[in-house]
Amino acid sequence: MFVSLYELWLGQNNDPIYADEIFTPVGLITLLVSLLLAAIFYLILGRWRSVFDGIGPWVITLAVVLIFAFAYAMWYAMDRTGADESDGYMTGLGGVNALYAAIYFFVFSILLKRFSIFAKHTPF
Amino acid sequence: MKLFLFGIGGTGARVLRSLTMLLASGANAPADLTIIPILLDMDMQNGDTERALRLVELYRTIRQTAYERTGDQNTRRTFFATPVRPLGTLQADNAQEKIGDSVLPKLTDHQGTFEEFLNISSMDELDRELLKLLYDNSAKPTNAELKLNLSVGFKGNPNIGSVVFNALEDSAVYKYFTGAFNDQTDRIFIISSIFGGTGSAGFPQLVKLLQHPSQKMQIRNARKGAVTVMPYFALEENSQSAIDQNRFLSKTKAALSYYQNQIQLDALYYIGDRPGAKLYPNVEGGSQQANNAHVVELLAAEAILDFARRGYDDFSEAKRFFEYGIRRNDRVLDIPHFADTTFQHVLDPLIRFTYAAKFFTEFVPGNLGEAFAKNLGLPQQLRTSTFYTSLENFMSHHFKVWLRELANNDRGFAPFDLDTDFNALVRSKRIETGFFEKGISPRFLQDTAGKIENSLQAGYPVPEARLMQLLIDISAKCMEKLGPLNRQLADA
Repeated sequence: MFVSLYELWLGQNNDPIYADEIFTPVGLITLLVSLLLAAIFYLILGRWRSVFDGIGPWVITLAVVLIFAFAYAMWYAMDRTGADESDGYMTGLGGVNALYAAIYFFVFSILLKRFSIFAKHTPF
Repeated sequence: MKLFLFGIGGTGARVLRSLTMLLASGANAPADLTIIPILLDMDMQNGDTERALRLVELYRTIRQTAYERTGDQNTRRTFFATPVRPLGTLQADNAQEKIGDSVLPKLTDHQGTFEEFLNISSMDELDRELLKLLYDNSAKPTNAELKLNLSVGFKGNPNIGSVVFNALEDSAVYKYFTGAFNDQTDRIFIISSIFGGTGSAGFPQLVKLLQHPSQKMQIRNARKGAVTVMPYFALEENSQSAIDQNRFLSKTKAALSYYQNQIQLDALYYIGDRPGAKLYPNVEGGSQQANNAHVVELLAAEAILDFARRGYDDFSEAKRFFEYGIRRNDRVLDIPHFADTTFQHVLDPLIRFTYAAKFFTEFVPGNLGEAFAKNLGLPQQLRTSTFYTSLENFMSHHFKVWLRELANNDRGFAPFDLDTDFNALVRSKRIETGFFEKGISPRFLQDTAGKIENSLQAGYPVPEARLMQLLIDISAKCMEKLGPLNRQLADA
């Protein structure tokens, strides 16, 4: 599933390692990290106290997710391919991964906000 | 149990105002109590009366929405707990005439002078001359009697009021009352002043009427009580006014000796105070007569609840007299000045409600972005919905104003500092603040309100009912932060 999602935007890379070893773990980890941060935002902080629950903190959390998604995809691709420097495909992968991370985080936000106390109306 | 509460004249209205504040704050009252306030006053435009009427209307609107649409058996009814119903909303047997649903039903259709009320022009010469012997016939405003315009009350002339109140039995309001009084557990209570005009005239007439053999058995056998308010304020000098305050004490003395033998009630509460330095405007009724609240009125209101709390058998054959005393004769009173029972029945609820009022009128408008406020629909509804605007109006423009009036009067009752934060709200004890969750901080209120509102959602799907429960719980949390109050008076 993740292979199709990434190749939809990036096209197929000549190196099969992307399809075989990179897209799926990157996609899975990005999905889990987005879920984890959404859960921390809505179920832990959002039920603990009214300290980190508004739209500002939500945007900060989203930014963390995006940075992680971009950096993790780049790092993982470089690590698995053994490249010394990133290339355009890797940067594209980081960007697309960040896009998917934003979508995952938004969807998890919609699903989890009802279980929150203080962030019930975040992001809207 | 229905308590038919007759409030006579301006004092009746002022005590009703204080009683409404006490009921709103959840003062100790029997769970089955319903108050039926009936204001008896010729002065339909009286400022005190008008204010009390608006307050009762707000109270009813708030209570109806906050409780009557919730079927939950676990609903806590702390604030606005006791139903208050105008007489006209009760079922009345044999009532031929509807009296409307105002707390101030029309006493008589007459509008004009006392002379016209007596229909002097149709009397023969001898009767006319006799009346002129009994009453002043001059048109001078300071001593007008026969030419007194009754639409502003009796201006301190019980000798006129008693004649007008003699016709009470035939009034639509009294007939409706007798039709509505059907239960053996129902009681009657009368509020009046002993030194004014309307109250001192109406009270003995009403008592006489209620015990007349022609009255139906339930009324004659009902437990009856009254609070008689003795002089507690002084008026400004006004040479144009018919109200002569120099006669307050002599009228009080005369009336007391009359009451001693002639007034047969189960319980008679007396309350009064030495007038303070602050003078009340000497106006002869009308919309200008809107006197500041006084602690005597608050205690008179507590007398009503004390009467309601007493069991049927508390009243023996002999009538009982009650007076009220404070612990020390200071000009400004605080919570420790009052007896423990008053603290438990009245002052503790008053502190709770003051916290709730501060929370709703000051904290909530600044925190409409919080989840609890959004869940309650407050960002859109706070300034538009009838319930929220009524509650805001009650708390901001009536309750807090009433507290300020009590504090600024002489004798003053100033237990709260409304202009400070939650931690210094109760003057007799400042809540300690600091790190580690100490004190009532905005963060504490946000956290507490969020958690409480969340826990109430399942049980109270209607936002208005949920808000009332939230206010009850928030005030309880504030009381926990406040902790026990020192009940000892500080050295003077």
